[in-house]
Amino acid sequence: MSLWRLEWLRLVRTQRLAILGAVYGAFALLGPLFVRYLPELLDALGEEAAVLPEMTPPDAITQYVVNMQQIGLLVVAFVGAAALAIDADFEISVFFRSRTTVKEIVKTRFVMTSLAVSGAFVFGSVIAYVLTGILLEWLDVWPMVVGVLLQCVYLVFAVAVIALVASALRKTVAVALVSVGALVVLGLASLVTPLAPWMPSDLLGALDRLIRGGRFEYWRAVITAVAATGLLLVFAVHRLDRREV
Amino acid sequence: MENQTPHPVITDRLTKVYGSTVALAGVDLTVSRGTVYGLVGPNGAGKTTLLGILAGLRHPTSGSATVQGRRISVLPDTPAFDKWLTAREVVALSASMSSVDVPQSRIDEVLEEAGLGDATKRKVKGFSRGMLQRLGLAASVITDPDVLLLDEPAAALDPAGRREVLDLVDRLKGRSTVLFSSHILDDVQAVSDEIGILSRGELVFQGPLDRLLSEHSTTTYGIRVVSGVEDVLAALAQVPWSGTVSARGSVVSLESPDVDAVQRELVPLLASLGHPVVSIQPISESLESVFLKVTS
Repeated sequence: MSLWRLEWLRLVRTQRLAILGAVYGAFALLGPLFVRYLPELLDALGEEAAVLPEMTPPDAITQYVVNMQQIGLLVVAFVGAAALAIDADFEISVFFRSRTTVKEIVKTRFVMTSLAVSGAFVFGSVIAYVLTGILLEWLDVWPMVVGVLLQCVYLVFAVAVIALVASALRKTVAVALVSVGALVVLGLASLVTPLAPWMPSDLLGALDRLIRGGRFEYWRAVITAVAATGLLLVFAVHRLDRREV
Repeated sequence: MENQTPHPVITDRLTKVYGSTVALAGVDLTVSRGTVYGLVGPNGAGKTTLLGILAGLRHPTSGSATVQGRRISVLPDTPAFDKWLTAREVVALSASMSSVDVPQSRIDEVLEEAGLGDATKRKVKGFSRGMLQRLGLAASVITDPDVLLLDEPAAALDPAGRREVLDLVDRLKGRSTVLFSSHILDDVQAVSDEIGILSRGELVFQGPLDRLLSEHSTTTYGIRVVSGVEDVLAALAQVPWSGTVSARGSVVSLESPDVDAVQRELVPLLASLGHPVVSIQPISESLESVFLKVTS
């Protein structure tokens, strides 16, 4: 019964993996269906379809991505906080901290949470891509693959932010909400700063832009996201190590 | 045990301050290898803080705490585990995190010893507090710890459960160094080789139980007479070596700080009174009364 297996059981037995899959899967289905059947929907409602711009196959993916940036990120924050708020319960914290190092605890929880949220996003992306292909038009696969990978880099960065917040706060809900707040603030900051291409938040729009023929210009954001993820984790472990239980 | 230092747990002027509250004030604790050390004290005396520092979960304000051993196990007073794990998984996880390689049969054996033999596959979610405490103990014992720190290990258990836990602690003697806190003095008396008494953050006594009782208890003698209780009371009240004298029925109690004088003078005094004496016997003082005396 290793810590890795423990984290797998945490994802499976608490239904968190199922919830992630369900949320991402549901929005992945809704995006293409919405774009494909929007005219029929509007007809049924008696609305004038002409007032809306024409929907294109990439819009199906955009629908999915936008939903994931909002509701999906909230789910990620709660799933991540539930795993990474290691001192939320004093007695459970004592059980772990007195037997292994904070570094080991954070490492396994960070990796497994990152894999789970990234896996859920990939799962949803595959559904959205295939359904878009079946209902609308097959998109180029490589921009899609690269965009999904960039989005996963951002999700891993988001989990590292949650880890850092968990080193400052103890309660799961507080960690989740403050993490969401921090990610939103970082996202807004990237809109107004000249450093936008270096901000991890820039990766959020990568998938949408790439499938619409945009150039790959995200290496700076990737470098920042990877470096920040490492630093955030080191800082989080340091803080948790020093924190009294 | 690979490290053979004679005192695996030592604190040196250990002090812990929370804001304006002094939780520990210069505690010098020494626990001998392979012994069971009972830490007693009233609520708020600093027991949990002391164990927390020894476990590395809290930091001292000043002074130092040294716990030597390859494996150190800690059990809080109300242990808790992820509710979706089974009892067997909790114990296996504890062993794994402590880098102890144990077969499944040993895990089941430890659970059996802790009284959870029929709950090995049950999820922790449905466990009572007593069962959680047994599970916590099993998760500690499985690591074969060099030092075991237990905070009120039997507090939530019924009398039978308490007995089992104390037996389990007793069996660890010689193999592990056990430091356990308790407010149940009978438990401490039952299994401890040495005890420490914490009062308002200070270690007011440390040493073998016998020494505590001999140093801090006054000798009380019970003198049962057939008649003449009043005469005996009057005579004892006049001798310089008597302390507190009282009577209950035909038994006169004599509490004296001067044991030598009592042993030398009491029998001749009673003989001089001429009343028939049934028995004279020392009455040992309970740990509880000594504890109250020391901590008052």
